[in-house]
Amino acid sequence: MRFRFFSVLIITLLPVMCLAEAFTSSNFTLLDPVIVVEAGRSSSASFEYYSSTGQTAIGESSTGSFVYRSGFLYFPSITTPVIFSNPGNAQVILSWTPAVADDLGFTVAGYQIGQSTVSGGPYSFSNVGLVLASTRTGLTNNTPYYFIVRALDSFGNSIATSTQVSATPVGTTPGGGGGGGGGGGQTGSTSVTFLGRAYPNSTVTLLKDAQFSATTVAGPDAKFQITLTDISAGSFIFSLYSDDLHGNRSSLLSFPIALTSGASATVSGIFLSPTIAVDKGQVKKGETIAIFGQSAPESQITISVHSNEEMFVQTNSDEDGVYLYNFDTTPLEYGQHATKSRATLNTEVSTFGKSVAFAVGTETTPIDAVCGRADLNCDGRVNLVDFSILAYWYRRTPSAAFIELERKYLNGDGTVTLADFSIMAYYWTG
Amino acid sequence: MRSMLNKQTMLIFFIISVTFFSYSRVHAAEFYFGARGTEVPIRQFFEVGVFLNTNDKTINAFEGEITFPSDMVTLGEVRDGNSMVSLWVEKPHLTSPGVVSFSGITPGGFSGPQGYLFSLIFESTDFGTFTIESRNENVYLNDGEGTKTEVTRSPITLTATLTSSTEAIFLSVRDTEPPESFSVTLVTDSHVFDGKHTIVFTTQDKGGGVSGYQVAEYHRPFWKFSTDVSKLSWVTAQSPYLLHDQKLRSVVYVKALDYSGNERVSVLYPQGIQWYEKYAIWCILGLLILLVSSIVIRLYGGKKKKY
Repeated sequence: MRFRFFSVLIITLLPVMCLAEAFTSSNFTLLDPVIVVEAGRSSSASFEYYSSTGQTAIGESSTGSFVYRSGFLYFPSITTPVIFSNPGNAQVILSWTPAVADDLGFTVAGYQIGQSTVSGGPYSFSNVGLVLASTRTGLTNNTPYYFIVRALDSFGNSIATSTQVSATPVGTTPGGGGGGGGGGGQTGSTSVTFLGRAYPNSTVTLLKDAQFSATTVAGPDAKFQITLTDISAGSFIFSLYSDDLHGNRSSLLSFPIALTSGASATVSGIFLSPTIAVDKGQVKKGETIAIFGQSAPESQITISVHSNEEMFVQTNSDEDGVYLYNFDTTPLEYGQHATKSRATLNTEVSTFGKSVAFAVGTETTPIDAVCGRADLNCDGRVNLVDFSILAYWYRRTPSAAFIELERKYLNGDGTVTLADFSIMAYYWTG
Repeated sequence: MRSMLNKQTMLIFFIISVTFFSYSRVHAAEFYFGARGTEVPIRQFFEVGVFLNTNDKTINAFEGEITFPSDMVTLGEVRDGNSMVSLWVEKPHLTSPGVVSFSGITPGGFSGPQGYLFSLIFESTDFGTFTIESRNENVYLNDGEGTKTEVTRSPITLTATLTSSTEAIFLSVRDTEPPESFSVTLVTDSHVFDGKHTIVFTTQDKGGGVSGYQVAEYHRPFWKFSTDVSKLSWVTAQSPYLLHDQKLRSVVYVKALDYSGNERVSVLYPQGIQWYEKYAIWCILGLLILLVSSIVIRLYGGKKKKY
């Protein structure tokens, strides 16, 4: 698919730049052809067509007044999966979040699991298809295993690799009888450990089925670990978010997990998306707007500015994970725009975080100090209280005061619909 | 106890992994169903799971209706244990004969091919082939804008026969685990019940699901040290719940029940009790009285004056 895309690109773009003459016959017209090296040849009884297959190089051209970055691979466009391991008797159940590709570039066509008894590999790989779970069987109990998940494109190339997760299968020891019983990993308490990256010294909050469950503080390297013990077996939706040093909050990263009784499960490879904020509510066209936030230290930050056309810029976070980009608004049209960011650190790529809005106008104005979106009671959190306020008006005629609230903090159509709940779910903090 | 729950969980996994699915691969979010086969036993209970395939999209809100021929099958109950839905806006329920409505959200979003929503436990009442399908579906992307995504539907067609395998019969797995622990929050907001004191609560049950909530408000006389919870008068409730005691002098008990009768009680202690209802005040007063008495006795009452 990528080859086809690049072929189309070369056939369409390069000739336009070269402004060559057209070749025509009674059967076809070839507009703006170019002479290519290492050309290939396609022919039929009625036409001949020469072309080459290539790939736009990743690169950057710059002068004092502009920077031109080209190539689809310039900005990594696929997130790395978060992987979950749940050990059992001679087996480990693995599940992972989907590797999400942007519209251009990669397409995930399947996944591959790497397995090893040595941390860091080498791994033996097996294809599992376009699925989000796999059970690895035939394992030796009490032996630690290490797994990674690779996302593959339609040509079988690895385009994203998760971090490693470990699991130790444990057999069920018959309990009871003779007073000896018990033991075995499947008879202990059920626990789950979350490992990942947030921001240096930031507070990381874990939600279980949308309700507050635990909190921890990330280390200076942004790594964190949270372990929940004595929880029920069953299916859960766990979510994580973090607050940066300015009090800005990341978007929620959620994943479904099915826990079996007595297992010690691990979720690895969590990489919270960067926080993001802007310094102006409206910016005068042509001036710069500061886009800033926090991520893991020394990360590459890709910032998307979404207007009629999505633009990407890049910067790096410093040793405290802080990043700042002064975005020149000259190319933006008048009106509302939004920006969001994601981080890349080594092979790990986060999802894009929440987007913040700003306007381009004829004058610069500060940000209105208002409550956050969907925070109906304005307490700095979006939780069950806000949900209940909204649910109260579901299928009722909203009061004038609530209509004003809905217009300000929700989708603004003056009625309470599921779209309002969807916005609330996006901004949820628990 | 945990192994019982594990069986319940495995039942869901079994439905997800082994049974007959009626979904197809398309690029819109898709409502589909899962059953243990295309043939169901006549005059027996059987289970049909309702699922959502997000098809690579991350979604966070969904609603719809499930329809079935009420002249051929009767809805026994709806179970939502282990559902991907964290909060129901409208818990799945029968809104008219043959129609179950639902709407809910998953904060943070969900992406995957087998998003389990809930199960419908039916009893077939007549022989023949029938279809269970969804309609009026809406699914919203987790994009912060409330954007709807395209939805497709995959109905399931089942046949009620005498020869259906016994595996198709729904067996209620014994669940002894109570619903998850939860908290009760007091809300006083002008937008809810005209600013009157209200409580909000929610929890989940990893067995069959939460069947309902009950609330009891009890204004305990200050001279009573304990409350017999079993003697409270409980009323069926749902969140948000308008408190009867607007002076907030009562202890509020909220009970979550699951389909197996297990229950979990959470308590909100009184916010507006009077000073004389606080034991600490009486203890301090008692100590002060004792202290003053002992001083008085020591000064004036301990010895007789000698003249």
